Amino acid sequence: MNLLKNKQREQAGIFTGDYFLYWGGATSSKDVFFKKAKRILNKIIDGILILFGLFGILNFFYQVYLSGARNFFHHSFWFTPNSHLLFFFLSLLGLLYFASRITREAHFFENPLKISVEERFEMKTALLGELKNYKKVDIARSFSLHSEEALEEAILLAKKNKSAVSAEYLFLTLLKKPKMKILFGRLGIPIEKIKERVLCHEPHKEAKGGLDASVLQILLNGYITAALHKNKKARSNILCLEAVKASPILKEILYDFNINEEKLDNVVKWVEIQDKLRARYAEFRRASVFRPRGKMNRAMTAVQTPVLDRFSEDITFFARRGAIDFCIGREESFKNIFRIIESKSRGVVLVGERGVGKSAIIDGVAELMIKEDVPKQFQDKRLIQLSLSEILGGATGEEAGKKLMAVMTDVANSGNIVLDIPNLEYFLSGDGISLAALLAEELNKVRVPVLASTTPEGYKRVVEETALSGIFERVEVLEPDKNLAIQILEAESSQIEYQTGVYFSYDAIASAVNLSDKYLHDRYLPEKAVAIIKETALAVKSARGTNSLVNQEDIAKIVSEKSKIPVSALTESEKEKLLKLEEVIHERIIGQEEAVDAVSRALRRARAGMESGKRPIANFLFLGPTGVGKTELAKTIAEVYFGNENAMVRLDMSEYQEKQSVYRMIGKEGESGYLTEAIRKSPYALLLLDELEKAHPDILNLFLQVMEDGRLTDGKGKTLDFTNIILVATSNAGSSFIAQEIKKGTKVPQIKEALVEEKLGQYFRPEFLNRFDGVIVFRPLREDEIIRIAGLLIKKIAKKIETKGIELIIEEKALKAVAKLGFDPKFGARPLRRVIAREIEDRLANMLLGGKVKRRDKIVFHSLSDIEMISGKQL
Amino acid sequence: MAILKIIFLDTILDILYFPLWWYSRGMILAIRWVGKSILELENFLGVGIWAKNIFTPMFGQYDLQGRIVSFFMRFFQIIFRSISFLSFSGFYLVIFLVYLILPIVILYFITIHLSIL
Repeated sequence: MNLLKNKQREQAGIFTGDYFLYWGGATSSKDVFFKKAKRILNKIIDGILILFGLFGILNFFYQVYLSGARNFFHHSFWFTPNSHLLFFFLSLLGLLYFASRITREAHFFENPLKISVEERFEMKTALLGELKNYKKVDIARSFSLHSEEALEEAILLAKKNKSAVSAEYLFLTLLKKPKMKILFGRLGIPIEKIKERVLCHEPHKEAKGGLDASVLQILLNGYITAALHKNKKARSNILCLEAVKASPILKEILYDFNINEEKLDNVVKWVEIQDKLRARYAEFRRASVFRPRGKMNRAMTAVQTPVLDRFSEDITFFARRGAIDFCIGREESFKNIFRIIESKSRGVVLVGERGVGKSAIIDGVAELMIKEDVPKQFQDKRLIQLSLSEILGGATGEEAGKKLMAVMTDVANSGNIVLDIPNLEYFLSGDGISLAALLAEELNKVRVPVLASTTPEGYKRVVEETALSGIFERVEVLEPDKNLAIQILEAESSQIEYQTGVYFSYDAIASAVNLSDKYLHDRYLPEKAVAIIKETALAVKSARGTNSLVNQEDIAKIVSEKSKIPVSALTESEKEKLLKLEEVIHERIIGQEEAVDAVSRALRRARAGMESGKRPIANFLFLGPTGVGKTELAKTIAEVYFGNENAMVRLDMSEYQEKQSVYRMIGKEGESGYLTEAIRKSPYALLLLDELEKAHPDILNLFLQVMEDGRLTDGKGKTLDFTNIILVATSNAGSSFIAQEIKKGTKVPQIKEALVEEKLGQYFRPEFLNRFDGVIVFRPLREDEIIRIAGLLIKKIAKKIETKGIELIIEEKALKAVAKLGFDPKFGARPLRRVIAREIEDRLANMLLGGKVKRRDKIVFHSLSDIEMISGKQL
Repeated sequence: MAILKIIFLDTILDILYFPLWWYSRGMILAIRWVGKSILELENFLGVGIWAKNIFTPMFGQYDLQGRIVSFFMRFFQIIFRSISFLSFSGFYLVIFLVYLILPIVILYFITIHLSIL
């Protein structure tokens, strides 16, 4: 459908407010030819005008030189008709024409209209008569030259293929533009590969040429997006994004390259952010010319402040030199701060955890102060950051108080200061609280705007409970969401790239945010992610040199080092390990096939990313008698899944039999408990609850919540994340029943059913049992299994002694004897270790200490009483 | 060929539009430029701020001597700054006048020298 065909009578476009937006640029190959010819002609005309002008002026000076300087001032020189002068004035006129041409061209482009986010747009075809009451806006005048050229090339390409211009053609020609190289470079995908794929799908739509309705929609959307992003022009990167959004084929192709719409959107924003940083920087340098350079304000009414200078830093001073971070996505905070100060409140306290961007907001305020884009109370002033650590540090309370008062006297006198007091929580140490009261008094005397910041805990104890509460109004600074954090990192990255000479792919930035959000729990976004990309950039620089690309794996490596967790993406070898999980586990666990199978299946489900994300990775209940391998299996899981068998938090539930023991676990009010503290330190671990049936029912309720929601709140009111743990509870409940049924020859699934439905009822409530992903029954060990376990344990000893150069051989008879001694129907294989220690390790120790064995000797246990030593070769 | 005709016509029209543009939209742009330049000048020199604070002592010296010294200091500053402000503004205005009369002067000379043909 060619909407523009009836150009004379009707027009396609969008209504918004009093405006009608339409595309006035090229729509057909004729238009393209016309535009191209005109561009060439314009260049020729401009060239002629410049040459003609230069030549006329030079010739004029030559004539002046020939006729002598005195003649120049003579009336007759100017007014006697003369061909040279005629040529000169004509060339001047030509230059004026040239000047008017370039000025008109520079003013041809229009900034997009201001459009609010809530507006909805729909393309309509309007009769020209309908448009009388609307201002018509030609959106082509807001398109960058590159994006306009791309459209023209698309029109020609489509004509060559005898097809209508579609989104795919536009995408293909956009790929040639320089911005696209940056964009797909960030995504780590060669443009040629994408081009090949799109060319395979090149759609052929019969049409006489002209713009397809979908392309017109893309152009209008591009304009609207540029307007929403407050860009000066609709650039090729935005057009690319809109083309992809409009075309299902392009979406599919990019999806094959692992690029979804959100990812593309964020990369387009990245390119934009960098453009904006550059533009902002230039604008900023211009504006800062008019600001006073020294400590004086422009009216010269300020007073020198020697004491204050000693204990503070002038942020506006740094801002003027561009030595502060640019602040992204904090408009809401600025609005709140300025509103509070304008409403005649004394001060604002920014409350947020460390690293969420409080100082970035202060820097942003300094930046706005430089641009004078601030309320009256902030204009023509300096933003001074007080260093509390320098005032409070290394001084008695009295000294610190004196320093504080001297500083505040300077503040009061100077008259051109906005005070910034970061880290109010420093008052918490020593005599701090009484000093906070002093600060409150002083601040009441001096009438300057104050911006303070602190942590939530600092706010509670330093502000809320002291006189400072009368001075400050609270502004909450929340941890940015992941998308905003990615954009902040995109802005931060340019500086890191400049300093280190390596480049970040988009995946690297995104995974820095995602992984640090998931695995680094003691710090906050965006600071922790920024720290990760900084460290990774340095690591990549030293490993691969400058100009290399930082990718997802590099980031994962650093996060892994920090959190001691294997987070490298699912590599081929790890996938194989997961598929062969049963075999890996059976290297350590003998027998218990049903249990190992059930656990392996559950773990595979979790690792393949099918977990809901709101519960622990898996919850298991291991049932069975003592010494059959329950704890061993838990250790093995920790090793396979978390890379280390010590990645385990172990709680003996028999110690939590009383109601009060809940507090030991989660802490009394204001305290952190044993469990919560352990999980805070290692949130990515296996939580082993031994002998669960012995715990008090209230504690079971606690774990009911953990299993259901994946979180728990400690006595301090902090919520802990349990979504990265594997919960394993073990219990002997019903073990005599298991033993009986196994003896009868009942199959394990039936035993499990009977246990869950009847026997466990006296220990656990049914809803509690339902929360487990698997109730896993361990059966008593058979004799042959005990022998294999003994073999496994002895193998470990043999390995140890091998390092001393001595070979240990235990023959079948000895092994059986050990197994027999070590097996106890009640305790399973538990006594085995003790028996092996007594019967084998002790004897070996005696031999070694007695100097009876040397390197290269062999020790053979024929039986437990018949031990032979074979001397090795003398070298 | 039709397209070439249109382009040719377009070019002719553009040349004819030039004098019209010079004294309409172009002139508005020139006035805006002069206005902006003068505002930036005032922003840079701060004459207004100095004048507004003529009785405010400098450097917070609120004693009598401070006030007297400040007043004279400010007075001379204002005079000096006003002179530079006026002369720079005059310079901008001259440029604007040149903008206005230059095409006319050029045309006048062209008509004189055309008689040689």
